[in-house]
Amino acid sequence: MKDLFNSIRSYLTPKDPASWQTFILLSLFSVVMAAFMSPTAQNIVSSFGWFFLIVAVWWFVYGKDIQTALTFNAIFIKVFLGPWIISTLIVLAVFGSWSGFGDLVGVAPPAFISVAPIAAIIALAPKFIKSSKDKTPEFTIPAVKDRQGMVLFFLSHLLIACWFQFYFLLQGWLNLYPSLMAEDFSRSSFVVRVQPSIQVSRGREVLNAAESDLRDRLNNQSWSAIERWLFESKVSNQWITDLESNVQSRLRNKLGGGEMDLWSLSGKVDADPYDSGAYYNLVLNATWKGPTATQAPHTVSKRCELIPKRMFNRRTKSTIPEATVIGTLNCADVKDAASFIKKV
Amino acid sequence: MPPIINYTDVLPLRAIAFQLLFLFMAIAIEAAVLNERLNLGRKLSMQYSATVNLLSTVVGWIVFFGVESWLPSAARQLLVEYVFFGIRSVPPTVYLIGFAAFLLTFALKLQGIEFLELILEKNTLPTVEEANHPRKFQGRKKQIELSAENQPNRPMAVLWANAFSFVAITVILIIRVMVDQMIPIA
Repeated sequence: MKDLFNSIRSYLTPKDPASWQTFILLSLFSVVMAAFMSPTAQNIVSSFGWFFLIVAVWWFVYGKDIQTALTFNAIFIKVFLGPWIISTLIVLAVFGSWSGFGDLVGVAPPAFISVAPIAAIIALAPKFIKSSKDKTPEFTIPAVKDRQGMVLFFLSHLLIACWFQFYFLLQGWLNLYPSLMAEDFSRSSFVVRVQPSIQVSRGREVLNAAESDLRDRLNNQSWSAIERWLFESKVSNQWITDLESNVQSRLRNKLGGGEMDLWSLSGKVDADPYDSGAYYNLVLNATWKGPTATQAPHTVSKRCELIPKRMFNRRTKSTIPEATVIGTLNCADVKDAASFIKKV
Repeated sequence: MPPIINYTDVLPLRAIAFQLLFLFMAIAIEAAVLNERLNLGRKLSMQYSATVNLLSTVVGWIVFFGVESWLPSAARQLLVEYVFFGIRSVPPTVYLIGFAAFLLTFALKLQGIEFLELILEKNTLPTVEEANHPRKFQGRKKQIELSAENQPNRPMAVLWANAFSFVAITVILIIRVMVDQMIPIA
């Protein structure tokens, strides 16, 4: 343990005042100092810490042995990872925050998209600098023979940035229409799912919302009121349009509410097979009208029963209990008509 | 781009694979055509072709992202369907978009070569010197014809190169759509 500490210490001790170790130490010093400061000063000092760290890493990765260690042979070209490391650090310093650190949401898409172009700029920067006679860096226009390679290098990094942007576009679409995640993407020429997992379409949520809305309306109503409602529901479809708008307003503010307009509700009330009036069947269908793998809208349905229930409540000093009949709504769980869920 | 709340494991890996395939195909084909028609030499025509193809790909992506953010909801749903579930019937709009892409990439490639030569401080078009070298012992008419023939016509070369690479990519896409149609819909 002590040996390890000593070796780290000797590695970090600057051999020369102008070396990367100096900047690492400066960075550490800034971080330690920032810990004792008020928030405003902390921000300033910690950004100095980032700056020193970036300079130190920049210096470090361009060291002789390190550069060869970080260079890999791709098929046609050699790829040097140094600029990518520096650019990641720069992006973290600019876009990152300690509060949202760790989860992807904290690091905004612009951060990921800008990593590749910044890496390209870092890698190409040395070509724009030459040392003059008195050893000070000076701006220069790159040599003509280098320019072709530089143009190709920069353009290919821009292409990588475009791919990142496309990934984020896909995520945006999937957040707009979360029900897409229940579909089968195997026909796509653009995307693959890394870990295909069963994902229930949001039709279930839509139907559950519809069920609880109906429950609020029907439960504990007297049976005669319910039968009147059922009779009206056979005549006009007003109840289902009301239900649809209620469900939409209920779910719109939740996750992926953008797709709510693509779910349409339909429903049907039936008497029992013998038309005895003993109970009523209610079928609720939620139909997905958005894009699907099968190019046909798919429907998720839920079966419910409306059952009369006799409630007795005995009043004080009364021998015969008073009976009232109220309705109760019982629903089965959602049955998904689409077959892809079993297949996945 | 809509706001993103949670991230999924849906990656555009196939898009990247197809893009790389088409890019390498287009670069190889166009380099061959440019070499044939402009006498640039193999290396130079390869470099030119790689540069303009990368440039047009990047510009194409940027145009796509720009247009996507302006799409009305119905058109975006159609786009989402094509991206996630493949394309089975090709609507006329797609042909129009393809043709527009052909014209735009042609203009962009022509301009791209111009910019590239500006950056490289090059002037490959043999203009003044050749024209001032009159061939001896030939009729005047023949002279004019010859010089017109020898002058490489760059716009035509780029147009042919672009046409060849578009045809090759279209053939691959047609095969892809046909194979897709053979698989029954689940």
